[in-house]
Amino acid sequence: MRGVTPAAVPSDVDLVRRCARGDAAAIRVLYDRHGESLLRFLERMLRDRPRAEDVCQEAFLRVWRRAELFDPARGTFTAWLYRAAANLAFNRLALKSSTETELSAQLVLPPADTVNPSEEASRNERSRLLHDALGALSPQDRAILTLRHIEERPVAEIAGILDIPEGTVKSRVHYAMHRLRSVLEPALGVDPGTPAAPEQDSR
Amino acid sequence: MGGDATASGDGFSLNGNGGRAGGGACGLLAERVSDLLAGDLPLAMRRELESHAGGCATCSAELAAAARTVAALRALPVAVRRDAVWSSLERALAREPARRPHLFALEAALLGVLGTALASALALRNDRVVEWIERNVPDALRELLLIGSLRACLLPTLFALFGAIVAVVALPLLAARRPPLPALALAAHPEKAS
Repeated sequence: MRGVTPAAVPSDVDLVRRCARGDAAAIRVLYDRHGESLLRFLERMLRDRPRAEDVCQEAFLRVWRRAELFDPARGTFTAWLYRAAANLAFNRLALKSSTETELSAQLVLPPADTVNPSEEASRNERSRLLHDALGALSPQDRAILTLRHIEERPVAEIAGILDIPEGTVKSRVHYAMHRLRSVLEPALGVDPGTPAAPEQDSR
Repeated sequence: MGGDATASGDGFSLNGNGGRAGGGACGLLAERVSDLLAGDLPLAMRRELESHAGGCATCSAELAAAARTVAALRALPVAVRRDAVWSSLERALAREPARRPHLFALEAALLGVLGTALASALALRNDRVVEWIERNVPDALRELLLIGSLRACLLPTLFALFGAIVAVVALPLLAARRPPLPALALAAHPEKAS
């Protein structure tokens, strides 16, 4: 124990209520809790760091400005925050001209510090293939894929965040996974038609 | 294993015979592999699917490929500038106008109305106050203020109105003078920007 009792840690709902009363320290704690994951989500979705940072900042400003509108009976704070961010992101994308699309997306590869350079090169190549395949997906599909398989959010919550039917979430996840898999499997040397050994526990 | 699988709606069942292992036509996991990887399925259903995949070549390949794809997706590096964004957000928050000052003003105005009305009503019970009004207030207004029952309510109301106006105008100005935002505790989360 570190001497921190659960009662000493304010819930997200408490913090949003404090924001509604003008408590600036509360928005800081909310950002401390959720800022990084939101940034990662937006960067994966938008593939544009400046835009992702801009949207993230605007989403938290929106939390601050509209805190009194948050209704915990309608969903979690994170779902509310992500929904605001997703709406802002889609609005920005709608304003963006098609010629600008994806120009600033860059893959940041980890430093090559492994013992086996050929393995590193192979992994970087796979990362590039995956990066390109993700770029071919729509921002909404990237958002769905990220929320489902990186953040592991329930289908219902993703549907609420993106304001689409649950069935659409499922079908888009299926489609996006299929697209990525068709790019990755040949790079991994796996014949998609050949049954592979079952993966160990996937969770 | 190699159970024959049938799926209908959200439910499913695996029959103990049928032997589709290696058949290549089983699609049981295709629809549920994301749920399985995301850990959304009930434990019993998950175990049954995994058990099925253990004997079904098609489903085991499906599960393994999906798991590899998710692993690759998660391994893709994403650099974020968490504290830089907070710095920018902090500056934006500092430029924000005071939040909901009208609510505070409304509450204060109500208190002002009640308080001023009470004070005025008490003042009018004092003969010296009434004498002062009779000496100093112009005739027309004085008669208006001191006529019978109006004495008890009109002047307090005027005072209250004045108090409410002061509250509505002054309190937002006071509320705008918010304390600065506290610094973000970033020690546990070093910036990950490249």
